[in-house]
Amino acid sequence: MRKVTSTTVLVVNLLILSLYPLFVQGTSLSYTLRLGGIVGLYVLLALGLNITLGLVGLFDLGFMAFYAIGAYSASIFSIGGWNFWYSTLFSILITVTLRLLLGAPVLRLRGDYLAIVTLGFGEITRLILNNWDSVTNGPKGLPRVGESISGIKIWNFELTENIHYYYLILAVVFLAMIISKRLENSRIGRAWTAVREDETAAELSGIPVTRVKMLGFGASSVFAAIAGSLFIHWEKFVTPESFTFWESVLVVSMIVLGGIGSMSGVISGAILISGIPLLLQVLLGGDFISYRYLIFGITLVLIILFRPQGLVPSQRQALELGEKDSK
Amino acid sequence: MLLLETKSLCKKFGGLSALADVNFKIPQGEIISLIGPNGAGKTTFFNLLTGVTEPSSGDIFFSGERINGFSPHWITARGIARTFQNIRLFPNMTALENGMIGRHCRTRNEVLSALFRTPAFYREESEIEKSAKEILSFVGLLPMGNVLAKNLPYGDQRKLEIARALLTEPRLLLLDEPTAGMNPSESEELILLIEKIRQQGISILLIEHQMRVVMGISDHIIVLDHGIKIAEGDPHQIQTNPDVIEAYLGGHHA
Ligand SMILES: Nc1ncnc2c1ncn2[C@@H]1O[C@H](COP(=O)(O)OP(=O)(O)OP(=O)(O)O)[C@@H](O)[C@H]1O
Ligand SMILES: [Mg+2]
Repeated sequence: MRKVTSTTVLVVNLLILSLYPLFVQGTSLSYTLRLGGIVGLYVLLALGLNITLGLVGLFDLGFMAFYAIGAYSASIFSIGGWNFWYSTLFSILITVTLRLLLGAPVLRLRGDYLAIVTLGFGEITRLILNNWDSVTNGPKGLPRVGESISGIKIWNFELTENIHYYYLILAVVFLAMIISKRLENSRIGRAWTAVREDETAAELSGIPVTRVKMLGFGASSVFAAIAGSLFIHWEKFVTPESFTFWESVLVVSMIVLGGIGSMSGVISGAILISGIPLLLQVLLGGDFISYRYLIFGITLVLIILFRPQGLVPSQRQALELGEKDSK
Repeated sequence: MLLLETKSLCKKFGGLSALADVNFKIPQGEIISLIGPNGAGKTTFFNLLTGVTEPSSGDIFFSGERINGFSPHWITARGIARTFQNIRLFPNMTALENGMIGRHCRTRNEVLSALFRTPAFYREESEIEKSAKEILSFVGLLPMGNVLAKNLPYGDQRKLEIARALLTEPRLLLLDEPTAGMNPSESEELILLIEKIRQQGISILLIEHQMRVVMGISDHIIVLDHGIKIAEGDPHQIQTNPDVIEAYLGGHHA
């Protein structure tokens, strides 16, 4: 019953989101397509972090570092002449490798230590991006003068306008949702949740906790790398300023506010937190623009007050129990 | 045949000797009770057997194979499962899902088969679901299958812990005070369940404070006091052993 309704909700939302551009393209509202694309990238990041933070329960405060690593490595490959597909693939490889190298020593640590180490890693990454001039061009970012990042070409179609990227990102988000759901409802996904719920009990019930954590930690960084690559191929430049600690905190709040571990919750959280300030910026204009973070903050506090479990709290899937023991 | 054997097992916490030179044998198919006053080292013994902590010295053999020094999940996969003195379920998962976790070490689906939903994936998922339902119904919890573990009544939570342990297909089941906090009729039901488990050929090592339960169910009893094995024997021998009576009545004020 519930399953049918949530599928319906999904289909309706998708329909609206895919028809929307047809109405606004070419009108004064066409800037919302760009906003939509940006929000979509945040949804992608939030879905990724939801695996570690929401499902495995790892307190990861430096997720943006991997978005940055994905974005920078994709830029470097693209500048080197590789097309979108190859640079994305290799940026995923690099991001996941670095993620696992960080995870190997750190995932044995308990919650608060993990938070501190990931936070530190986030800052270190930003410092390296700022100072490793020969590779990252420091604060000026990539590409350097005279170089360029190519756009995305799908078969023979060159993506040039915001509406193209809007559709591409929408498709990727949809794919990411399917992947998240499939991972969640599987043997590995259950193991992740068990680790979140009680690490010791999970280990003693036969789950190799460290390995399962590494899997989740790695999987989430795939999302970050893809988001990073999409971002730079669309934006065509990248600087360290896009990857501050504040951004990591934003993604964490998207998940907490939306409903930890709940996919629809996390998506709603991402849309609200990334979308509201963007919209307010445009809508308020003039004198009111400086109030936008105030309004934003008040909204967050209200939501936390009235829905402490998040906008759409996570729910476990009920299974058919069969007749034989129903008393 | 010997299922489990410990050889001069010692565990020290700083200066405290929680277990000293414990030699211990469990033959296949028996119910063995481990008793002793509070702080005697019973739970510590379980922690050593399951790999939660490593012995300070001594060895543990499980069907002839040395298992100390290995991680708990590996030991579980070898065939030792346990419950906890303070219930440790996965509170925000359903009863059925708690049980399904027990199947983890007996199944193999990884990320890729989950992503591509291969036939092998569906086959294994339905196998996991089916065995979890079977064991839930075995302990009498199937009707509660979709209830979150944290919302189950206390007695059912204890049973669910046992179900989860059983789903790992253990040859040896360690139960740490399974009747703690239960009323007499719930305890009675649990004792029947333990008997039923033994009939499946699973050996049981039971920590239990209620002497009535211990004397009724055990093939063999081992008594620990201050980390030292002070007696062992069948229920009758233990009841009449002067050292045991001393440990239970006099020991606390020493
Ligand atoms: N991790 C630990 N660190 C330090 N001391 C410990 C630790 N675990 C147990 N102890 C100590 O070891 C001794 C044995 O404890 P244990 O929990 O094994 O007793 P028990 O026989 O299970 O008692 P109870 O009947 O109260 O459950 C106690 O003195 C306890 O304080
Ligand atoms: Mg104890």
